[in-house]
Amino acid sequence: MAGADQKMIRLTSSEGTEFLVERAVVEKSVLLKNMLEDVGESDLGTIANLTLLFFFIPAIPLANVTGPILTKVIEYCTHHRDDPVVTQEDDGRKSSADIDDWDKEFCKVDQGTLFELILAANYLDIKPLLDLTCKTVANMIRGKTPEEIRKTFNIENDFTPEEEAQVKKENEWCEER
Amino acid sequence: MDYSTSHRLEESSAAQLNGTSTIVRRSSVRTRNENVEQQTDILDQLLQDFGQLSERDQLTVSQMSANFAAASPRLRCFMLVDLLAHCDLSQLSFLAQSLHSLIRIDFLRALPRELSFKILSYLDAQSLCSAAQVSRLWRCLSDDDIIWQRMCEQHTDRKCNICGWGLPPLGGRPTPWKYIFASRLIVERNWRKGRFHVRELTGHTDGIMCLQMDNEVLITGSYDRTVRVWDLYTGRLIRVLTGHSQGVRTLQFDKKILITGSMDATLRVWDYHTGQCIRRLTGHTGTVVSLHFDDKKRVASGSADHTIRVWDFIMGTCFTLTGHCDWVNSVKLYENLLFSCSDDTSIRIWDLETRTCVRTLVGHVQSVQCIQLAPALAFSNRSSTPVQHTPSAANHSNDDCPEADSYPVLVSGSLDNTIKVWDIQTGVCLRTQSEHTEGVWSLAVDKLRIVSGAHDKTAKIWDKDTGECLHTLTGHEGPVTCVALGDTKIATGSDDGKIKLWDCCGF
Repeated sequence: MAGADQKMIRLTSSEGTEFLVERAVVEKSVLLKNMLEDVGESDLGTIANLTLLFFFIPAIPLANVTGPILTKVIEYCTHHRDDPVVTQEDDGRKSSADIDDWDKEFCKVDQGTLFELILAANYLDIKPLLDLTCKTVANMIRGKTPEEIRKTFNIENDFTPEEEAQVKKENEWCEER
Repeated sequence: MDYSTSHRLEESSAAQLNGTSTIVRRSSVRTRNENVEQQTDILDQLLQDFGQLSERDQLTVSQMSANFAAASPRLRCFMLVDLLAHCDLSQLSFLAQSLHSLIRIDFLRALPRELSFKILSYLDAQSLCSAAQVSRLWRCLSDDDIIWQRMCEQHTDRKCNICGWGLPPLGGRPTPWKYIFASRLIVERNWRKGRFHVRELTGHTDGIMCLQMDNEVLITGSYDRTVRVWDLYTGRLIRVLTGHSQGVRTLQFDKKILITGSMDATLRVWDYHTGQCIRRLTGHTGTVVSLHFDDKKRVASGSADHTIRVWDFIMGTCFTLTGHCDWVNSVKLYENLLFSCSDDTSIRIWDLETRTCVRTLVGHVQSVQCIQLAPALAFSNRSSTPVQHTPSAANHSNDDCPEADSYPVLVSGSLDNTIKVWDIQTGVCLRTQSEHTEGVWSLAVDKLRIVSGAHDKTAKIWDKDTGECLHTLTGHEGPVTCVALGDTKIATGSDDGKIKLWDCCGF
């Protein structure tokens, strides 16, 4: 843990599990950062330092985030706590190959977890995490044939044979000739 | 017995617990990288085998799943933990593999639309085209204009750092964006592979000396003393401009006017839409070999009389630059500078304010016939090691074309068979391209390419940034004296009096 003056925040997951998290980590979430700023310094108080007063620390309920997902989100935010805030607008076209090893390892989860992480990152407004998780899904699509994509995500082919032939024709230009 | 698919997992693990079939043993030794399909097969197989169990066993399994189905989420968790505790290692690994194939989500269907677009925006064109063939919903999202407009902006008229392609800008704006991207990609692919549709324009009765084109017309000048205006779409001759008393050596036009320079030592200004000669400029005492005008209404002309004249149409003035000791074969205005090259083998840079030569570029060993200013090299040679394109290059979106903050480079072609690229600030020769087997008469450049025409009857296409020779265009029966470069085509003119259009659009 950092210095003793580090303020702590309590987060409550949808099942009611409580997490005690440093404010600097919590503030990776723009939603929570704004919330904390709205509440103001005085309400949060300096009593946060004292472990004894743990239960006086105001808790933020996160009804949309389950405990396991919140654990992952906190893990991400803790690892990236010192990253500079990205100000320039990412136009979404940055290379998805530039994921660092820690992030790559972090995203080695089942599709259900990945799905919930995307929703949580979107809800909590943690842009780097949202970028990372969306890139991870894009990487699962990249380079695959339509049939491979269907298998990967368990998607039913709902084209009629005529439609399928039509769509195939429409996209033929992209095949390397 | 009627089992809903949602209970498959319990059934199959239960079947395994009973140790019924060899399939279970087989599955436990399967490696993790077995694909999803085989895994599903195993589950299906187990389901089929279920019917062969004894009634008592079937009852055990169905009771268990009924209990599970009736339990609260919390209780289900306890039941699962308990079940897991009873599993041995091979059963756990069976579970791990089964789960992998069961937890699959159609992300694009399940996520809010803006997040689906975000995911798709990370994909390349080919993956987007595959995605469009997955299902109706995927097609709808993958074909969206939002995605393809971004793809177009990403690639237009510069090299994309990810894929290394530059797509030429095309005029007009048909919809949808995916279609625009597709047509550009096809053009780009034809450029890269050197696939051209070739047309020949005939009409001049002597060698072609100069030509230029825009999106609609091609204008050519010839030893036969005429200037001809051609329709680029139909290839038909629109107009013949006559007036010069000797061969036409050089020309340039914009939307309004055409200026030509001739062996009769004069320049003429034309309204090429009507064919009318507006003005005659005299002063040179020998052939006008080269001219260049800019948007500041200045015209520079280089002559066989060794001088350069700079005419200012606004001020109505004209001054002469002297220094070359032979024919001045090409001139280029650039801001307050003028570049010139000569049969005396040198290239000179002149300051137009002081009207003096500020630098001489020496390197060619024969007459320098042509010069062009090109946008700065994208992967600059100024750093000690040329930066190779790597897909992992981190900064993709922000480093746009470099010319915004850097000087252009000068490209020169000489009868010593070489093309050289010069740093105009330092005067250093950055590279020499020497694949022509005879002298280089003409050059054209854009952001991506250099095209050269040579005495060896060929034209060559070079990568502007690397200097690599990409394609050689053969077919002319005489030296290629002039070349022009457009977004989708190249025009070449030859001493044999023929013009060829090399078009890589739409076929």
